[in-house]
Amino acid sequence: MSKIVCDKNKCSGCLACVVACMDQHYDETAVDAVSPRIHEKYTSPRTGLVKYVTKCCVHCEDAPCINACPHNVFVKNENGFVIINDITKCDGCKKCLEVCQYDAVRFDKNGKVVKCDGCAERVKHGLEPACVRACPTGALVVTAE
Amino acid sequence: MENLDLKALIDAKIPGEETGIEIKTGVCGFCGDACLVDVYMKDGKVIKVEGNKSVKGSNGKLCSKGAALKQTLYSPERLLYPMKRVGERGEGKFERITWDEALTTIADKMKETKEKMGAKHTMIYVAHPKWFRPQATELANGYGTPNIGTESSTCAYALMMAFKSSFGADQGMPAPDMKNCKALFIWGVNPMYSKSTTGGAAILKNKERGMKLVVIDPRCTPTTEHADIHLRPFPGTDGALALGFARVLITENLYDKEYVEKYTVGFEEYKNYVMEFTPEKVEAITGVPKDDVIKAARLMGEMKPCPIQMSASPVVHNINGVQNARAVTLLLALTGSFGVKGGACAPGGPGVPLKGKFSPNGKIKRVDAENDLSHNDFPAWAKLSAHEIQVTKIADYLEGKGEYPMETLVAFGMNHHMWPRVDRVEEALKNIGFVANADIYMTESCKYCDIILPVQSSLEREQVVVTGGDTIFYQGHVVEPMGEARTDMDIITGLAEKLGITIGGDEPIYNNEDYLRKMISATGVTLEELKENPLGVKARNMTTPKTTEDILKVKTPSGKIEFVSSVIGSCDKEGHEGLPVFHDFREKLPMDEFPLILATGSRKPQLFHSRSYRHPWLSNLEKWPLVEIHPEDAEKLGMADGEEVIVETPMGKLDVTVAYTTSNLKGVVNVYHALGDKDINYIMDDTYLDPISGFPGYKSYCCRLLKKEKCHE
Repeated sequence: MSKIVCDKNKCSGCLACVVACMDQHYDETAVDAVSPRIHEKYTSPRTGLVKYVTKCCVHCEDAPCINACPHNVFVKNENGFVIINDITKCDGCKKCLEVCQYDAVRFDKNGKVVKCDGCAERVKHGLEPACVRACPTGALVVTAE
Repeated sequence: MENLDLKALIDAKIPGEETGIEIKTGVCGFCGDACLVDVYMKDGKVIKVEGNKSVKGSNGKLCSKGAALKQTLYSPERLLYPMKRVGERGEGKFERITWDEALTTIADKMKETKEKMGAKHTMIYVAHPKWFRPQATELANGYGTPNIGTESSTCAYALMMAFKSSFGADQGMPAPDMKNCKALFIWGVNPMYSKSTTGGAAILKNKERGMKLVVIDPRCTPTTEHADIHLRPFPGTDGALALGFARVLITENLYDKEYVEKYTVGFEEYKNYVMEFTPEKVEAITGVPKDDVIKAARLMGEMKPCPIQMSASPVVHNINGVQNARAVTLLLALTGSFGVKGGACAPGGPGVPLKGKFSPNGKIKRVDAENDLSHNDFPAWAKLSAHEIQVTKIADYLEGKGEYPMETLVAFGMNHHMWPRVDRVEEALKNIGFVANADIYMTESCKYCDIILPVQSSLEREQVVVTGGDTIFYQGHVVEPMGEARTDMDIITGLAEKLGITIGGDEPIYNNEDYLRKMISATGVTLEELKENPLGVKARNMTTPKTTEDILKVKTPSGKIEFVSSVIGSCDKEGHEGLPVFHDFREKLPMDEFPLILATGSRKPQLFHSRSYRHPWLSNLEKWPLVEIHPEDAEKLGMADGEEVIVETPMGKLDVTVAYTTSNLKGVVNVYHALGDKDINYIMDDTYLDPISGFPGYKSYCCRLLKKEKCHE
């Protein structure tokens, strides 16, 4: 399996990855788009600098969200990415969020779950995930574990 | 199954014949940097954008604004047709008209103004983008008005004035020789945000080879995070800090004596003045501990030549801005760093010879310049930024409080929110005789116009850019122009035709394509060749690089680098000293009543002036408008993170949300600018200006914060 990690020291908080993620996954008319890539404030313990860093689903080996979901919304694909199998089944119960130790799932304005799909199809075709492709500091990398 | 697979490929936007998704390379154009982007197209529509990495000079990276390009392109606020006003000014009611009617109306109004009052009663104004400024100046010249101004009235030109006054009229901004320097001083810039695709990377790369980095910035930023030394002066005190450095360099004999003797004048007078700036005094003014002042100055002296990287506005958005910037840049003379390898403005390699007035940076001499609107208000500007007027007093000028009244304003990309006291500018725009504006979007400024003209955005506009030092890249219509949008150049030539003027003089141009051909005519590369080579073509002719000897033949009145500026010193007006004198802005402000220093106009990575706010993917990343404040300052006021409060300046009040940040200095708050009717510029004082440049003191004004309940009393 593979996951995308953010090196908090290298990350400048430029948010290119967050918008690149929306650009990859949404049409421009989706004005309320929720990015699967999540930005949150981070304070440098050394200097007090406050900046954004980003996170997303790490595609756990033994992903608790898959079993926690009463509607079988999630599935692990052949490359080890935890992806949404059928969004129509999601009723926004947030059981997945309860079991996610990374707080890496979000919900859109209709209450449907939003999460990183690892740009699985792009990766399959030898391309980088959209966020990694955009990152100007090299903070985002795909690691295989 | 096959259909499902194809749907997955299309959903993931995988390019290829199967999916019908192709990649075209284009120019982003959101800010001024012209990064190249790979645009994923399906059925003639942009579906995704990535940073280009196939053309020389591109590294594949993107910023948040570039990543939102698709949303900026297809914005519902795009102007698609020429329109005329049918409601009141400011109301935003318009009706579609033809291009012919629009251009004829503007030209007739200009002619009428000229016949009845004289051509100088018409102002031409160019804001964003900037590339056609030389031709807009030719339009003004052909018509006969000296009153052409640009957004550079609050951006970059004050720093250039500082640099030109000491280092010569041909100088712009002090570019660092980053590849060859032993130490780099970054003064008030955060390249990790303001040039994130390339600027940050260059610093990190040079740090890896052992370059020392000193950053001077009141705030902690992702750039200061990489600094060997980070100094945090109060905004607006840069001059005192630089003069303190100079004292250390001189008293400890760390300056370049031979260089100073050979290439400069005014050193003795300067030396006497800087002796006042003891480390103790500098600490008292700037807040920077005296030991840090000494440490940084010694590093500069020991590692000289030593470049200083600056940016357009941070230092010069202060009422002593030009003098502060002169104090900073004169350190390049003191350490023998100007014009030498490893310093600033170092001898470079050859460049691509874009042709004079057809180059985006070309400067055109104005007609009747001595009768322009601003030369008595800002005499140093008239000498050092001679190709245009200073527009900051636009509310006065439009209201007829200048030397003579303005009747007609013809603008390109105008955003009146860039000026202080936006309310005054709006009132003036309601009362002027005629206003026209060309823009990509229906902006707040457009709503005050009689005629508005739709402009092509970057991906729609045929253009040529230089990239990678020697490569010329052509972009055709990546996207077909929307509605009836035209290029700014075609608007200028169209208007010129109606006025009976020719743009280009003895090398006439009649449209955008003519312009592009003329622009590259000295490079040995043709437009046809460029159109056939999507990766760009290397220029055949290159300019001869300047040597240190060439650069040090400086174009000041004395022919030497001037510690005491003869140009500024000879202006008979208050505050125009030849020495880079430090005046403390706090002495001019009611700091007792408004004790917090208010800094506005900084960059967030997702913001580029007013533009970002109209695109939801960018504006929704944070809540607006924010006041960023150190938690200790906020707690003293009993204000919680996220609390809705009021920021009050001597000019008025604005609702804001508190954002705690330990990135801020205590005693200083930040508010970001250009947010529509919640713009901080509504309550910035339009008389609080640098007398030399006319720049507003945007980075160092004063305010207080009020709890909401208290305000109802």
